[in-house]
Amino acid sequence: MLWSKKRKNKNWPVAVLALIVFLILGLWLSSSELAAQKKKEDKRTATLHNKSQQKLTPARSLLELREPIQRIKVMSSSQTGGSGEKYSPHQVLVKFRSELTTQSADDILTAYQAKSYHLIPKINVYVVHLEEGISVEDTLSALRNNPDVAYAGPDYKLHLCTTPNDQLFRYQYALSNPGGQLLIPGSPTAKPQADIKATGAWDYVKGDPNTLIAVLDTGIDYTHPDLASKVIDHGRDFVNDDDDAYDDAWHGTHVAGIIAAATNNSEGIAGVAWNCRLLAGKVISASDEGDYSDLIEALIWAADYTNGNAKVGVINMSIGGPEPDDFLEEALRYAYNKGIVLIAAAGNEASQGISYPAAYDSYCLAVGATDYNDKVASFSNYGPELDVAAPGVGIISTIPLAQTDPGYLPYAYANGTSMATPHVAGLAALIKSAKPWLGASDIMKLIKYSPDDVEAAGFDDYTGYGRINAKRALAPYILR
Amino acid sequence: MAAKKMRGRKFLWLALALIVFLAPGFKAQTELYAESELNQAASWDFGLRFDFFDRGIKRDEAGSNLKSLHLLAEARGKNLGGTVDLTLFVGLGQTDLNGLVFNQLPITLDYQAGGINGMIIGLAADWPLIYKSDFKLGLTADFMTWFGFKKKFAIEGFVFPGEAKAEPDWSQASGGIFAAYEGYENVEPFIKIKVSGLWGTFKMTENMQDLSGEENKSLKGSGLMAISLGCHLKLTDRLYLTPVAEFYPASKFGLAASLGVFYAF
Repeated sequence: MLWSKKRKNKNWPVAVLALIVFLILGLWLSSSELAAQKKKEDKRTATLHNKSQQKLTPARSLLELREPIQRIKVMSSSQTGGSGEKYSPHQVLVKFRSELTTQSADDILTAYQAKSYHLIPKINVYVVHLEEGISVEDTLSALRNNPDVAYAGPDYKLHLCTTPNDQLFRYQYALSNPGGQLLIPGSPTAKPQADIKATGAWDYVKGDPNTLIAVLDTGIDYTHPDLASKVIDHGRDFVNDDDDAYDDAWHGTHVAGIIAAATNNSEGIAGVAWNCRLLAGKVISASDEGDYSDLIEALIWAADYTNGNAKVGVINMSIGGPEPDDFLEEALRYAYNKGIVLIAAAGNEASQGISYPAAYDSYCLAVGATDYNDKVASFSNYGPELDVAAPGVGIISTIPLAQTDPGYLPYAYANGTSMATPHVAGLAALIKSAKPWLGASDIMKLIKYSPDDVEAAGFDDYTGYGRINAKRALAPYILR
Repeated sequence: MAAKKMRGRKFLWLALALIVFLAPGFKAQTELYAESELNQAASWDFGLRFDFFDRGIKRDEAGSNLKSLHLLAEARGKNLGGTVDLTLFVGLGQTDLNGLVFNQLPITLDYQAGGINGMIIGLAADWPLIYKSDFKLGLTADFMTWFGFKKKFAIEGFVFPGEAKAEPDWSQASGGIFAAYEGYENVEPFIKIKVSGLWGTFKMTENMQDLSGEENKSLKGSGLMAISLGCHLKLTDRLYLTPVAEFYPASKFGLAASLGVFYAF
């Protein structure tokens, strides 16, 4: 032990020198290893990036608007760009305490080996460029421990939100509203961002093909070019008691397109639940009529439906009736207890009172309609059971080929809480895809607690908790 | 990858072989040592130690580094029972786990809040077995555990205000062999080659009205090997410094450095 022995050897300076050399050698080896590691990771990231590049009335008073749509040039897709880095590896943002002089701030930044920096005026934030080899993390860690620093954070990367290349996406203000004069019937002027923030959500989740959304409606035209690849089978027709839920009206096909039309396929529209698939349950006849019994039966059927690994995660009911019913409630409970998120339209009578099944607050999310200005749609029913709202005015979507007039594309505009509901169903499907372990209750709460408050502050009977915000529900919340 | 694993296994076999080789001589050597003139009375040194610690960890599928800064009060008992040097330490540590994403929670949380303060306690023991010339060889072991203090965050921008609570902890245990050279008057260099494991959890809970969730991220040190190089550097008769550099040559290379100043009673 040192100090316990009195040796006469005077070579200790040589030993210290040897140790220092040894340590330097070790550090050099570690940095080379780190550099090699980083190079390998960069290469792997680049490879992944390259690979990815290869690659019961129908809400009773529906208003259908059909406008001829001119064939429009297909714009090239504008996918999420950038390197995938969350923040710049060479820059940080720093704000000093207000009492600090500019000279002192300069001295501090110099001490932290800033290569260069500049001040963003008015808010007094420095953009600091770091020397090569200086890590953002270490610099931030040091700055945050400096009592003169009020805030130090990374310089996060901006990128374009994921935008699909579907030909008619530009008409879908509900998914991404640019504001100004809209390309929908009447050419109204819209408020920017009065949308469900779908593009922001798609940066994180595009949905799982094994998450099915059951559309209990007039059926789905499964031959439609924008739906054929998304409808899992021919479904079940509870009105005519057969296994062919082909849409002999138009409503179900319109709803289905809003939820999950084939997306990023250079044609037609984009669906909210980009990669999810659809299951058709026909409970409304060609003459827009349906019985509670058919809906009850369809709920049980959809809840138990499986096809390979695919099963129903969300049920969309853009339908409603005026009366409560114990059996209907029991069927809802059955599906809810299987973890299925139930979404239903509030109704289009512009009156107090939410339709059933939407009014079953414990099991169902009730959806009202807003417009391109985040104003409540004139027809949307209201009441305390209303949970959230979504755009339901001037919504473009798919219609059956059989209903398409010559010279027109098989798409049409429609108004209604029926059109608002599938936006919420699409969001529910995205959440279910990303977090299949969440129960129906948690997904309903997440949808209710993440909207933009667009009417009276807080909860109100016209928009519930507000117009849904898919990005807020799905994007990671950064703890700083 | 396979080559790395092979190298790791070779190292483990080598370490085990050395321990097995040393073990038979242990009893005799201890007796010899007890009788030798080298055997000194037990004594205690006290001091402060500052550690920087940056070790590769695996968390779920991803890998990253766990960075930690420690300020420790340390007591070193020398020649306890005539054979063992025992070190006890306690102090504060700040661990940085930035970049952990808790995506099992209803609202996904991305932890970017930097260091979390916590308390560290631990012990280390050196057990000299062989004295040859001016060299000393023996077994070494250490253990330290860090308990992060709970850190709360507001979750804003939603309909209801929410709260997230972070509770991390980790521990590290190592065992192996050491060699020290006692031939110099004022400096005693040493090297330690150890098998070292790190494990821990980062528990995150979130609450927003009646929406809540909890997620535990498990943390595991990548690699099992650690090499320490250091020395005791005499400043005065009673005051000495102990600088140490430690390397973790694993898939995510890590290193640690510490500097302690001690007073010998």
